[in-house]
This record gives sequence, structure tokens and C-alpha cells, in this order.
Amino acid sequence: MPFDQFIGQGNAITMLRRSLQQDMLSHAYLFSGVPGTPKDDMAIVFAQAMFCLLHDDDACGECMECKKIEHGNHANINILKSDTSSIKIDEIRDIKQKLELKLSESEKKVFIITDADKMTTPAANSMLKFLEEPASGIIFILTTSNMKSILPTIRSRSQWVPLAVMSNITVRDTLVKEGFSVVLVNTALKMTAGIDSARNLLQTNWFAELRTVMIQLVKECFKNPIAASIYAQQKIIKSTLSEYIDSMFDLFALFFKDFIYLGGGKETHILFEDEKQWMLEHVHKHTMERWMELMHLALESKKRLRYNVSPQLALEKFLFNMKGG
Amino acid sequence: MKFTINTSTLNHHIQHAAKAISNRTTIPILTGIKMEATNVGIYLTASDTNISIQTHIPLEDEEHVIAEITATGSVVLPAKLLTELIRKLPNKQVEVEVKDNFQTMIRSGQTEVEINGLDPEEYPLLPSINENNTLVISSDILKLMIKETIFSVSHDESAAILTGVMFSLDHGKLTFTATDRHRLALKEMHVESAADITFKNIVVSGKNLNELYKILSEQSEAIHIIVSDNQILFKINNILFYSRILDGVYPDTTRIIPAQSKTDVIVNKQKLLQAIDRASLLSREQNTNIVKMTVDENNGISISSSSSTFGKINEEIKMDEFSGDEVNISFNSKYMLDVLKVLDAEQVKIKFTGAMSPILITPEDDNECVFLILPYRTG
Repeated sequence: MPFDQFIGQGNAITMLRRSLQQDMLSHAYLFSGVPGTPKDDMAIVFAQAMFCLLHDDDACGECMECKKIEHGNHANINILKSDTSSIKIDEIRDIKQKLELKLSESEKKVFIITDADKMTTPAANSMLKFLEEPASGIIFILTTSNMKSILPTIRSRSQWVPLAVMSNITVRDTLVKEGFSVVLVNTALKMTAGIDSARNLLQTNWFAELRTVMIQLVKECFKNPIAASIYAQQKIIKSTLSEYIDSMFDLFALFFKDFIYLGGGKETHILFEDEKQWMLEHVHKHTMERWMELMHLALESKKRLRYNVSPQLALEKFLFNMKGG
Repeated sequence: MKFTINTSTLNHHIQHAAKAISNRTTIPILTGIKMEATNVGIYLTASDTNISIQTHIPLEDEEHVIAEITATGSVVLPAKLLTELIRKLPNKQVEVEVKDNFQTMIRSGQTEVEINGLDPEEYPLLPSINENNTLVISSDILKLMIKETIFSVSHDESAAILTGVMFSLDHGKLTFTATDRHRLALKEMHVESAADITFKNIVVSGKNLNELYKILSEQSEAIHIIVSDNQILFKINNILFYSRILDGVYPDTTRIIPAQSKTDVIVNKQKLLQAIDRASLLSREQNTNIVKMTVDENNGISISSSSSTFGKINEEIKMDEFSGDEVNISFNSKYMLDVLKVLDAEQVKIKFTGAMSPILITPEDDNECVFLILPYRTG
């Protein structure tokens, strides 16, 4: 796992490599970046690079040291990954205890604390002690996606390594590489912001189904409006999907937006590529104004849900308006 | 790797090695015991990065064949499972075989267990320690030295250096010192060593010594102690016990021990122990354990303590010898009991230098063992 795998993080990597090359490691690093940036992976690779047997300023991922670190088996690397909502002072005390042991001269000890913003104030303050009186050979790597929540006293005592924001294209490529289908990823990215929430959405068992049902519903509306209401009753109201009607209205809006793109000749912008053929056949059934009205209607219905309108009523009213015009 | 071995021998060694396993480790491979079969025997290694223990099982002892190696090799197996499993195996013999991907088969009688092993290459290497500076000591003496000092170590993690026992060696005199700021225990012993080996300020965590204490046998086996820059190694027969050394400077304790005293008393240890033990029953309020002691030539030692809820106690003990001034002092009975319990003598000598100065306790005819207790300041 060399540094090269992190696309678009050139600045951070150059900085880290330079400190490795000159053997001028700081006693503490603070990796920050918005959710989805590979902070934690970068921290691991940086640790690997410090210990790697083959390279001085990079990790090979092949040597014993790199492998040990990758599997979490390196005795001199401690990773504190808190599953709970905060990092408590006791966890920092455990680290402190590990620091009481004598290191031999050439030995290095690395402590990685992920989501350091989760540290409680007492925890962060006790952490300060190590940062203020750095012992030789001890290196801290903190990662955070919320730089503002880190105590200024910690910020000022560590080397700040900002990670670049990932572009939408990189996010999409990353998610596709993780095995999600392109069309779903595109839709999910429009519905949420950031890689983590998009991934969460994609991992739910209802998202893909909701999308299919929504497309089917629109198709039914064109064919047989009465059947569409029954279909909605069966597939949505009576099923678990009924909990996600608000997301469904988002999907409706996005779908109608695609029609507007198609009508305006901007075919490359559309999200529902898999339905392109069918959309091309039907785009002329309504005027552009009507498509816009429908999109607006979908968003309006979603708003009604927030005002505690029963989801079933909101959906039925929406379907009724859609066919009635 | 493939070998067969006597089950109880394997069990015995695993129990020893497993003492180094910590349930709190975050490093997956350290939850395992490394098993290595070589042509000279089987090695078991366990570590929590603080303590590392390696035991060596020879292929045969004087009379019996213990193990037979079919193929050499190594594997890391989960310690918790392994210790439980080996203890419960039905047959006298057990066969261990490692297959692809560290899948390990353990067969004994009709039992066949398949365990997912880990890659031994990822196991941390034991520190290599230069064995030139070896100090040899008998295990019963080492055990005694640990016993007589370890109770005084501090349990307060904020001053980590005091949670350990300080070792020093000078001119063949090995000294153990432990203190928690309220009391101090010091034990000296003459040991055989090359005259040029000296070390000081080697502090070994009390917890680690406790584990070592459990492994040491009562018989007088020769223990080799080797000190390196950050580790100390105890070689016990077939066991290597590595401990990390605590970082920091141990406070200078030599000046705390008073050279002169105002009052010297010699008294029967057992009688004193029992009297203080009884008095402590009424002194547990607010965890102070305060017991008062008055010594004067005519009445002997009188020990008293009182509790606002329960009442008070008073008893008198005859002294065997007395010299000096009258004494009126209060102290923590728990500290005194700890000392009297480990002290190995019929008669103890107690020296006082005033109501605010440390109480010095030694065996009557032994200067190698010194205990200090700071008194309470009472009105």
C-alpha cells in the first residue's frame, strides 16, 4: 500500500515524504479532511513508511513490517479507534501507561488516534501532556474530519496535514470500485452529500428497490392510472418501503429532472441512464412546463410529509395530480 | 509443522507462557501463543509487549521421551482457547499439525480439533539481549526478595516509576527497593556475579514481578538475570521471562533511612502482629487504619485504637529489650501488618526517631532487610 494509491493528495504526501527523507519526523501529526477523505488509511501508510524495510520514504506493503502494520499486529503501533461516540480519558490513560516503558534508542512507537475530535475535553487535556513534553521515538498521528472540534492547544502542538477534498468524480469512482452499480451511485450522490452518507444509502437494502418501484410507478401512471394507485398500495404502503416515502419523492423529482434534461437535449446530464430508452419515447407526452410542474409537485409533496400529512395521503394525492394534470 | 507431545507437559508449559497474555491487548496476534517446533525441542512464546515469556520443552528428559517432531515449523494459536483445550484433552498424548493457511489440527484420542492459526512471521521478535552481563541468583532467594519488597510498590499510575521495584547491583550486592511515598521496603543480598557487573535504576513493574513470582519455584534453582538498555531477562530453567524496564529516574531513597534512633525496641513478631491485627479491626473508619502505639520502659508497648461507632481497644505487649526515650506515635496499621507478615524472623527490632519521623523495622539480627513506615500526624 504505497502513498501513490491516494489520488489527489499530492500536497500531503509530498509533505510526509519530505519529513521521512530528511528523518525529521514531528512528534505529532494531525490529519484533517472532510468525511470520505482517506485520513485513516493515510495514517496507516505513513506508519508503514516509517517502519518499511524496503523504502525509506514510502511503504512497500510487502515486507514483514508493512504486513504486520496492515493486520494491526505490530507491537509498536497502537491504533485507538473508538466505536463509541467519544474517546474517554481512560483510553488516553491506557496510552500513557504504554508510554512509561523504556524504549531502546532506535525504537519508534506510533500511536494513531482516529476521529480525534471525539476526545472529551478531559481526554484531550491529558493528551496535551504528551504533546507538550514529547519523548523521543514517540509519534502521535491524530485524524479528524472536524478540525474545529480539536482543542486549539492540540492543534498548535502538532503538525497539521490537510487532506484535499475529494471531487465528485473521485467519490463516484471510489464507490464504483467498492462494487456498487454506477447508476445507483449517481443517484445516491445526488440525494446526499459526502462519500460516507452516500455509501450508507447504497448499503441499505431498500434503496435499490425504492428506485425500481418509483420507475415502475411512473410507467404505470402513463399506461393505466388506476392500476398505478393499486400498485402503489401494494408495493409501497403495505410494505417496508412505506418508511421511505420521503426519499421516494426525492427520486421522483430527480427522475422528472432527467426528462427536462432530455427535452432540452442535454442527454449527458441524465442520472437514470438505464431508463434512457423509455424516457426518450415518453418525453414528448408532456410539455417542458408540465415536467417542471411535476418535479415541483414531488418536492412539494415531500414538504407536506414534514407537516405530518399521512404518507399514504401524500403519495396518493401526488399520483392523482400526476395523471390528472 | 507436526509433532506429538505428552499432554500434561504441554499443558504445564502453556500455563506458564499464558501468564504473559493480556486480555486487554488491541493487537490481534498478541492474543495468541506462538508455537515453534525445532530439532532441539518445542518453544512456546507469549507476550503483551510488556512481559514476554518463552518456555522451552525439550524432546526428552532423563527417563522419558516427551515429544517427537515429525516436521519443524511454527504457528500462532489463540491463547485462551489453547489453554482451555489442552487442559481438557482426554488422552495422554496430543498431536499438533499445521496445514495450509495455518489451519492447525490438534488430535488426542478420539478428539480432533481444527483451529484457525495466525501467521507466526507477524509475531513480534523477542528482544536480543547481550548475555555477557549475567547475574546468577538462586530462585528461592529471588522469590524472597520479591516477596519482601513488592507489597510496598505504589498503585498510583500517575507516578509510574513508583509502581515498580528498583534493582541495583554494586560490588556483588543486589538491592531491591520499593516505595509508595508512605512506606519503603529495602532488601539486600550478596550474590555471585562477576565483580565488574553493576547496574542501578533498573525499575521493573510490580505487576510483572508478581507474574515472575508465580513462575519461580521454591527449590533453589539457579536464575540468570540479564539487564539490557530497556529489558530485563530472567532465565529460569526452561523459561525465559522478559520484562520491559520502566522509564524514568527512581528517587534517591538512601537518605530517607535514618542512621540514628532515639528509641530501640525488640519484640516478639507474632505477638505484635496479632495485637495490631486486633487493633486494626476498630481502625477501619474512613480507611485511615490509624493505630496508636506508646512505648515506655515500665508498661511495655501498648497498642490502642478507637472508633466513634464501635468503641475502643487497648492492649499491652511485653518487650524483650528497650533503650532510649518514651514514644508516642500513630501509624497506618495496614502498612505495619504488611511488613510483619513478610518479615522472616522471630523477633523484630523497631527503631523510633520521634513522633514525626519514620518508623524503622528490621529483623532482630539482620541488616539486609529494612522497612520504613511514615507515621500519621495526630493531635
